[in-house]
Amino acid sequence: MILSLNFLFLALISGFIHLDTLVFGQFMFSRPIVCGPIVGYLTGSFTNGLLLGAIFELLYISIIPVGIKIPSDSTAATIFSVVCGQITKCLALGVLLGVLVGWIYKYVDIFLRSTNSIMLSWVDNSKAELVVQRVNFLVIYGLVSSYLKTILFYLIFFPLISFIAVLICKTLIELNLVTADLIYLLPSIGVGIGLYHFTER
Amino acid sequence: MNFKIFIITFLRSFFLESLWNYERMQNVGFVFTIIPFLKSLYKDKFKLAERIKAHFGFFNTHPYLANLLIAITIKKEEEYSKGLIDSQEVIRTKTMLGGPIAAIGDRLIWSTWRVFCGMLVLSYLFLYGKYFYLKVNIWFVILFFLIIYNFVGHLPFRFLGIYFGYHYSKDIVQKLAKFELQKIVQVIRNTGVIILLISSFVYSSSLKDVKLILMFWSNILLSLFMSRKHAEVVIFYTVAILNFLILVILR
Repeated sequence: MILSLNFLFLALISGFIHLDTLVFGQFMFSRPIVCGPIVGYLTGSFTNGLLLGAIFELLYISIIPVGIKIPSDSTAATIFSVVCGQITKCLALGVLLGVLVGWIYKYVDIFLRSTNSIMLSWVDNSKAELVVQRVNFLVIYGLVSSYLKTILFYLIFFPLISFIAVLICKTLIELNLVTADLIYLLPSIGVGIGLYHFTER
Repeated sequence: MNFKIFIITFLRSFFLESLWNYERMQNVGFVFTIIPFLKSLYKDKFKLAERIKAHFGFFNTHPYLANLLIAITIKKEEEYSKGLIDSQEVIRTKTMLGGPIAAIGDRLIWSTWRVFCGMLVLSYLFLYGKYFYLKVNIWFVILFFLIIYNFVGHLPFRFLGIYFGYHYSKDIVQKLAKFELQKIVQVIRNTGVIILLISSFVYSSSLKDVKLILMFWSNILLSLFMSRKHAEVVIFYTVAILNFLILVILR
């Protein structure tokens, strides 16, 4: 019960953070280096949140949303890795599962965005006196629907991924010992990707 | 455009991508942003509705530099309302400039400024070594990133975009070209590379164990090499699993 309430609370916060990725402002609250520590703070490990946020910030540093290209979602990846890391106390496992969730979220996002086009005819076929209200409504609809859809995604995937994480951890008891060093090596992957991004012409 | 409309347009522009769609992309946010201006220009509700629907077509550009294009469109709309140009020219200008402005924004903001800010913060963290997450003031790190990113690179573009777009209109792209953006981008990128290499060196030396230091730099080389052909997810799993196996063998 407590875990379910925690998942609900985290889903509500995560939905709010996700608004920043596209639908409102893009102030970069949703970047891993910001949302990692924030979710870490809420789940009781501020420091682990920063460590995972830094790893993901590097890993996704060169990913840019150009045109209709929707990349793997760094925000979902970071949030899931922090939560899984906190539940299993195995941060490297959290990162491994987080990357997977970020990749899955990309396809969910593509599907969700494709549904937005349906609403456009509402303004196209509107009477003159209702046009302004309908445009205003569409903006609110965009914000609310995006928020609710993200919450739903988190409510489904939080228990599922956490269950998988706990299962892996129990099966491979040795995992924690081996991955203790692995977590300090993971930033190097992002350094390589970052260096490539800044040196390519 | 008076000051009140200027501020309202600026604030509304944060909702530009609120209903991003594959058919017309940022059209809903664009129309939402210019509605206060259109209302001030057209008192007749039928004319207002006609102009809103005219602008409800395809619109896509970089979200931060969009204000530049929004202001250019506003200027053109003013000219249209005075009968100086036809509606087609307003829409054509908006559609034609979207691509070049998006290209500048993607290069300057997404792939340079945002990446540079991330690298700056990460390099600062790396200077504290392997246990950086236990040593730094985390709130300072978060605020430093957000303040530098937003107050230097994000908000000024949005705010000044409206001013310059309105005052320089279509000439703005030529004026931007004179700024030699490519040189600025290159300087930022080179600085980023140097900072990241230095901080990575400090970080790796804090790993103490020679095997780990060797693995750290091998990972960098492998990721750098793989980045030419593979996506981040593939690189990550390949290198991470390889590292995991090496660590299991070494134990």
